[in-house]
Amino acid sequence: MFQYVVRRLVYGLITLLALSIITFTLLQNTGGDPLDRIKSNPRITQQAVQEMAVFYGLDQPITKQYLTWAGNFVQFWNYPTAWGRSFQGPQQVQALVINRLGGTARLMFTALGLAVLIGIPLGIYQAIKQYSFFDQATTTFSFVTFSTPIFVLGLGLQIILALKLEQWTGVKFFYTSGMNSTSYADFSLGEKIGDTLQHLALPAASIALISIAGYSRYQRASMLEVLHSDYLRTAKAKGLSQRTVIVKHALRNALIPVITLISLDIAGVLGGAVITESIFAWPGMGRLYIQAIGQNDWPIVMAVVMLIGVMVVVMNLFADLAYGWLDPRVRYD
Amino acid sequence: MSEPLLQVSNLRTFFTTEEGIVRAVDGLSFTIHKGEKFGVVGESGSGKSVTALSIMRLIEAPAGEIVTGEIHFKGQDLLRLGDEEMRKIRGAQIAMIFQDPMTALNPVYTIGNQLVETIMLHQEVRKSQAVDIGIQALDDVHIPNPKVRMDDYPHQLSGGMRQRVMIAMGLSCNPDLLIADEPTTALDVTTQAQILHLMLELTEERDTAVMLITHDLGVVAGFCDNIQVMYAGRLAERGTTDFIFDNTFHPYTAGLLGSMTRLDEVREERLYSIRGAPPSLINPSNGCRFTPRCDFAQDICGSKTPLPREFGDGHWAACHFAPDLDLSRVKRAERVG
Amino acid sequence: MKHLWQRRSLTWLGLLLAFALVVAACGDDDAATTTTAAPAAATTTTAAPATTAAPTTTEAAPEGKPYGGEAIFANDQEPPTLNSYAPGGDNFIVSIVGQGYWTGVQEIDGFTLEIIPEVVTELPTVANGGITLNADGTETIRYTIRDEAVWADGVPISGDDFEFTYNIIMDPDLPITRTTYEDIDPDSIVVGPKTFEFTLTAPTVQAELIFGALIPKHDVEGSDFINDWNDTMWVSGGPFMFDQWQKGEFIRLVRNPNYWKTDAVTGQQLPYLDSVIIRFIPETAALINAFKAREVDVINPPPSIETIEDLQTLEAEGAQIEVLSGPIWEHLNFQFGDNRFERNPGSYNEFLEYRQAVAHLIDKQKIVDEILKGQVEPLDSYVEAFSPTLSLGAWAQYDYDPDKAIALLADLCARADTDCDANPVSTVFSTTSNNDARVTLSQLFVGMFEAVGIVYTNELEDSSVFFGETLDFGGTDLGEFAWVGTPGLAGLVGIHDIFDPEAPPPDGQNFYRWGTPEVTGADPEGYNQGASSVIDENTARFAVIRDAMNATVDEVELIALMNEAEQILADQVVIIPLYARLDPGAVWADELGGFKHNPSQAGVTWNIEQWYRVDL
Repeated sequence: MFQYVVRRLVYGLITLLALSIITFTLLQNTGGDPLDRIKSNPRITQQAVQEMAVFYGLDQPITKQYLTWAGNFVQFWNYPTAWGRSFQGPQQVQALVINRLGGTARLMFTALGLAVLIGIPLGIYQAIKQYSFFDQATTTFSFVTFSTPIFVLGLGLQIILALKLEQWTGVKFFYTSGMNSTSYADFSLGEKIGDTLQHLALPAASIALISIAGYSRYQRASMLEVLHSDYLRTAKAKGLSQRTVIVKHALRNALIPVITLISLDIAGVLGGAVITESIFAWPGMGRLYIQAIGQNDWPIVMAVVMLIGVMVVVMNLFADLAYGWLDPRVRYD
Repeated sequence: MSEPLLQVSNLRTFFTTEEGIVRAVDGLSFTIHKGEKFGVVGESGSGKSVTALSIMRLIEAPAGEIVTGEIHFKGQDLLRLGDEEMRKIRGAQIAMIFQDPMTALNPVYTIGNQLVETIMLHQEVRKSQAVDIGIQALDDVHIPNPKVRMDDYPHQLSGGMRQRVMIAMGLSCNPDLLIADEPTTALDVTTQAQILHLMLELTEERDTAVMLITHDLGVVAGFCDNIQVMYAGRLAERGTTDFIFDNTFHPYTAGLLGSMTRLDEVREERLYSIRGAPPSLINPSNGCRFTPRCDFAQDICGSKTPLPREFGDGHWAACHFAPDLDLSRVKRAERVG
Repeated sequence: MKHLWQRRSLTWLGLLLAFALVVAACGDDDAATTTTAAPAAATTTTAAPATTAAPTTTEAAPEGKPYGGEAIFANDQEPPTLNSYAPGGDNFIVSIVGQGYWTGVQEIDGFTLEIIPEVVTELPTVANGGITLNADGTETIRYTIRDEAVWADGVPISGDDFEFTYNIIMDPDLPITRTTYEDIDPDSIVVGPKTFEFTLTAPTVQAELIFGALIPKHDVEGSDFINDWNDTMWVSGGPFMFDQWQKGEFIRLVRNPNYWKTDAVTGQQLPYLDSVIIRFIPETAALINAFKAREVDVINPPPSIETIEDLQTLEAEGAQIEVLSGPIWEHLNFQFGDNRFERNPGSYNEFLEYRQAVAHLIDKQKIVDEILKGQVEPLDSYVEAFSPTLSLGAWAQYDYDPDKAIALLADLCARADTDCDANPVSTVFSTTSNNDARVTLSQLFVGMFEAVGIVYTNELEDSSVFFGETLDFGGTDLGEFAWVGTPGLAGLVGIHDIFDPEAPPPDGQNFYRWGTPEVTGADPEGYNQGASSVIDENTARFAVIRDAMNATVDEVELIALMNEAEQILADQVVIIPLYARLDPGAVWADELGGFKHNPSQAGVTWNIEQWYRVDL
């Protein structure tokens, strides 16, 4: 077991190394020059551009740039200079990225938590009540939300629950955007909690609604498979109550496949939610990331990709360990 | 013969599908006596398993439904019991073991866990006692190192071992009736014999009645007192094992016997096979459902349903021409024993 | 609304694809290539407000305005740094925020678009003795600092701060753009307590734009200039002080109690507000919703006609929407480089008759009516877009006249060096496909070109391709895109640089390759191509004019040169200006007073010290 974990971690490191090389190579070959924006300004002389290139180390050969980046990147304790500078402004990438962790985590874990806490039980209940009115109604709802682009869903929620609801009732329930009010620091604890929820509700709901649809469909299918399994018939034939049959014999088996799904979603949390963050002006990683891509700001792109990579490696390992814990048939060797 | 244990009367179990209503069991009646070894034989889709699940009341609603009939077990009609009362019968008085031992045990719990769960459900014992009973049950089915095996997960055991566990589980509460649905089908031939032998031995000891469901007449031959041959949800022929083998009245039974392989026999001619395939049970036509496949069919067969008739001493057959057909060219030579 | 979603979704899809494929400089569908990004607070001399100013702000009552309160301005961009001199500091939003706390020589009046003195008593000119043209061809400039001008900590603003600013900019270890400052003779600098004097080795009108944001010596000296001032700001010289930057969310500015300016009308100490918040809401639809919900007071949204019409419905509820035509001007352009033949082997671009025919066959009024719902007039000159009073309207000679176009095409085909039977007159039009207005334009063109018998084809491209290889390598036949113009003389000089026949890409901005020489040895290979198809006395004269414009500070001479340049571009039909983009600014006027939208580089926050809460 210990050996297995160590081996997996070693593989993980190799994967991350490969990921960094591939991503770096792709970013170098996607046509853009980080200094394009500056170069297109005719008032900036060739000499100034050259100075800028030297300042950012862009005058170095590509391999050297990579090695310098990689050598610094792994020394993440050298905050905040370890991950290099942004090309958009000379801000330190590590500070920029870490700055987004709080907002990203708050939004993504809330959304994921809602999705798991609602989606999983919903799927189980749908399976138990297969073909009932409840099953049909919630299944339809799932398909509708799942096939709605998140852009439409997010703006829809924003217009109806933040804008129109206030116009109709005269009471502010939700804010259209932002993570907190700008005067948050002066609030009492109660006001702070209220303000946080009023801002968090809509973006978290946008992401959660779609995830709930996904999770419940997946969980429903997994549960149905278990419900039709031989060992469940055995359990019933033993005279076990419906409750015991479901809770003891069906649930654990039905949850196993979903664990992988959740683990990988946790791994993706750090990537943030590009569209939702933009719609709700949320200070998350997705916005940082997508803007960096648009600006050929590869130190930021690399940092975010590598963080997600680390999370994927860790959560994959976690998923496999959880699998083994839930399913005795899985062995590590 | 001793007193009746289970009396099934005019059982009809239908399933609703998108294509129509499947009449899986369509007017079946039979009786199993205390301690009797009762074989139910037929091809896939003949309604054997549905009959068993109907008795256990494990037909899955809303698709499946017991439409009519009575199932009297030790004097009470199982179909009129509440869910709670029925649960007390399941596992305790009527136990059931299934065809595929590889999938019939829950993969995420140990043998011991699943065994003890059953015992504690139906017997007023403490956990430690239940564990002891469980170990004893495993010992009874000749599982070596039963104490150690208690902590094993199903996937750590062979198919034969798992079926022994199923038998141990089924018999752990000393039921009056054990329904064994193709218990040996998924096992290799040597293991089959061992398992059958074990079942026979244990149920004889306990005077437990067995309803052995199989498609293989060879399996029932050495095991059962009585055999019921089913075809398309209905009774084809029923009688004592000896009588069925020796004095076959129904062409379908004869066909089954003719298509049996036997290791102790060298035959010149080709093995007989019943032509065609079992009929659809959705909106079946009038008349004998075996008609299209029967070598002896005549006009009446396609228009009039043959009711089961008794030909003395509990020998029943559902054929217009029973017992007058000469089935010898279909059937095999005498049973060896 | 649905329409808007679709368009935005495409943008996102585009961005995602960009990650996998091509990341080009101009990913945004509204991207216009910038000509003149002046450092810090920019520009202009004399220019009236742009063509169609919607309702102007009501003048505040002179009896006095209330103090206190907060205003929230929301923008779709966030500064990459607060330091305007650092890389990325030339970003527009940096100066929008900087209006709150910077001070410098000049600022732009949003009502008149005139450049006015800020920290100096008057703008140096030859007339007032601030500028001396020396016998050796050099130019001496002298600033006199206002006596009352102090930094927020009470330290007087002095000549030392000017010198320190100059020294920072010229520090060879710092990656800073030094254009114009490099022409200052370091030995010529004379520093006084309230004066600063220096000599430029060559006279240039660009000098009116320098020292727009002073760096306080006493606060910045000894710091790490590039690393220490990205997330925070040095001591303020403007109406507000930097207080807090919540990354990804907002920047808060608070009142500078020592601000040295008073309201010219009421005599009150400025600013009125206690604090200003600049919020960052990247998604336009969300920006509008936040405004509608009154979560923000002021927005300056991207100029889509749907957005403007949507916002205008709020005027009944107390909002005020100012729609000005901004300095971004759209134009048709002919490619004179070899690569146009890859797009259209039969291109007639080198023939004046053809270009004139195109100028006559285009119905600009119809284009403006369709694309901008008639909210602006079509342009008769690019100069109209940002310095209308200086415009000749030189393209007015090309009225919409299909018959004339047909006649011109007949003349073209009658030429000895053309053969319209073997090579029928054809046009291939290219622009960005992810900009609704341009797609509409391309559809309108089909009818207009075919009406005069030209074989017409649309070949639109994603902006990442169009603003990448296509523009760089001259891969268009007939193209269409936009430039941003800077008001004022310096801006006008800058705009003519892009037609400089001596400056083909990659070093120059003459993407049209009008009169350009052969290019060799450039990297990548696509830049290398033969000389322009049109090299004549006009291109030669233009090159002379262009050089002369960059070497004079004489306003009369400059205007004469510019007029000649404009006339050449129009007569030769190098480009065809179409229309200036709209630039909307919206404010909840029932809550916030003193707001005046400013479409120039100064931006909506130009008079932030004048904003006050109406509801107090």
